[in-house]
Amino acid sequence: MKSVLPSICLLFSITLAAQDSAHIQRPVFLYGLATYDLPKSYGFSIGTSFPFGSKIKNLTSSEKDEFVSAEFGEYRHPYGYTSIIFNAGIGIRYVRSPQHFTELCFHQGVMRTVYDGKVYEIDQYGNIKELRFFGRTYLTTGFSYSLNWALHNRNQNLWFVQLKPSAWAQYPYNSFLKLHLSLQAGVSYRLKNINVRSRSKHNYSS
Amino acid sequence: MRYVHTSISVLFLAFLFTGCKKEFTGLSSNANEIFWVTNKGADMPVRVMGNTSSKIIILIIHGGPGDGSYDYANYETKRLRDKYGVAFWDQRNAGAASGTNNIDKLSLPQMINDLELVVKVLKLRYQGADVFLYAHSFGGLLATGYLVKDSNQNQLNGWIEIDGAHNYPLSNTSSRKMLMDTAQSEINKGNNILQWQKILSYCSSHDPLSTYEISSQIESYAHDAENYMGIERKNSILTLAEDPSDQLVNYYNLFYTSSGNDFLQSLESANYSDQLYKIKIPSLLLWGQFDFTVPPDVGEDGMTNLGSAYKKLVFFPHSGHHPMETETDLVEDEIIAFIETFK
Repeated sequence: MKSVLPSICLLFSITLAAQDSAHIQRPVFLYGLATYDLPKSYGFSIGTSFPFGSKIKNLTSSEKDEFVSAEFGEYRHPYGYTSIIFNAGIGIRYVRSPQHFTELCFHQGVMRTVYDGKVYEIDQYGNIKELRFFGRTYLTTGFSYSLNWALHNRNQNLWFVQLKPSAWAQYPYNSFLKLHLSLQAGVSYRLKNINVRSRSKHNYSS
Repeated sequence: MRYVHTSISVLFLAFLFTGCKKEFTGLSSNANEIFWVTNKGADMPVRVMGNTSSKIIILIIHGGPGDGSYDYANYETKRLRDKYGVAFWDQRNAGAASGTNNIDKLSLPQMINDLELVVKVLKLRYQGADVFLYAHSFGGLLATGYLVKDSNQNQLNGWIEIDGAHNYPLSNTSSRKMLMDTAQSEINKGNNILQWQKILSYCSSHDPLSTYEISSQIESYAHDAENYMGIERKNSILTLAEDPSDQLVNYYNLFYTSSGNDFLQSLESANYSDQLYKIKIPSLLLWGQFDFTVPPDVGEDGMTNLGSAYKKLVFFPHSGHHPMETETDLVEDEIIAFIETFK
């Protein structure tokens, strides 16, 4: 009687999944991007991403690397302000071939604006005074999705072209939040590999 | 190491090219500069364009509230910019004015105080310049509030009110009356019968002085009525601010926060008609004949009550609430003649 149920199961397709844990070498990336923030701001940003985990599916050969990132950027809204942004992020890199990978990243940061032109304020005695480098500090939160293509068609790719649209919010802005849509384009560079914990998932089917 | 040097150089150049600032470089026949006035949590940009070497500055006080001065930086002021300097000021929580937590400061007295600062800074920055106000719609209320306060008007050579709402209750009641009269007349002529009947039905049974919601609905019908009368604006709402995100924030604050709603409701009783006698500087009132939002009655009220020795009211027969868009040349002719007389 005990063997009846397994015997019936053998009549159907069965998939068993096993997961291994090991260490694997995954790359650290540096990147430099030109930024266009709608409707008319432009600037640049540089950043780096460090892997801290990896998931490998043996059957599909796909890899998912988890990473943390740090980014410093500057952009300018002509006749408005110049802003400096520092972001920290956490994301997932999807690697499907040596020539191409994509990244989805959630980031949180701080932004400081400095207004164009002179800024005036009236003091308590009614005198007008000029404020130097006046601006405001905001928090930022957003998502980005980057597409990366290898510049050389070899396995040891070092340079990638990166295209990264992102949506983010600046707050508190006039007691609410201001939405931004940005498009970044540039290059990313595979700096070196470091050891990260890898979780491999193997699927066995009958 | 070579990479490090290259990267630092690229970063430095990028910052140099993108982080530059437009500073005031003196008077110019083709100025295009910006300065900011910060006051009680709001950082308000003032973009000065045109011929500042004329030593005449026209300060735009835009409508709304919550719109922005960018709407006026187009063809509507092209000839004015050729002859004079035009200062486009974004009021707090409007246009590109920014700040962190400031919506609780939004009030008419605070905005009047902001305007006082802006005029003071203009007079400091362009020393010896003659300053004229160009106030449209809600800007008319703000400008009159400024002019009747203390000795503010002594800073100016004159002011221009374009379809200005210096008396909201009068504007609301006149709007309703004008809509009903015109609706009846258009129905009799057989024009847009269904649309006008809807307006007539609503206005007949609703008093705009009773609630803010009714007043808003009548204002919405007033904009529709201009279209039914064939008055077509060339601008759209998308041009109100340079950055649509700013416009979203400003409108959200006004219409979906308690502070914004309190502010809008407080305007419903704002009325400076009984103080207009205090204004002695030259006054030019320009009105669209088919302005259902701030009807010509409000312009007549200004003419009756202003204390100015020189005051002139001009009606534009093919315009609604925005004569500077629909009859640009005629409006600019009047403004130029006025400024040339009183500069």
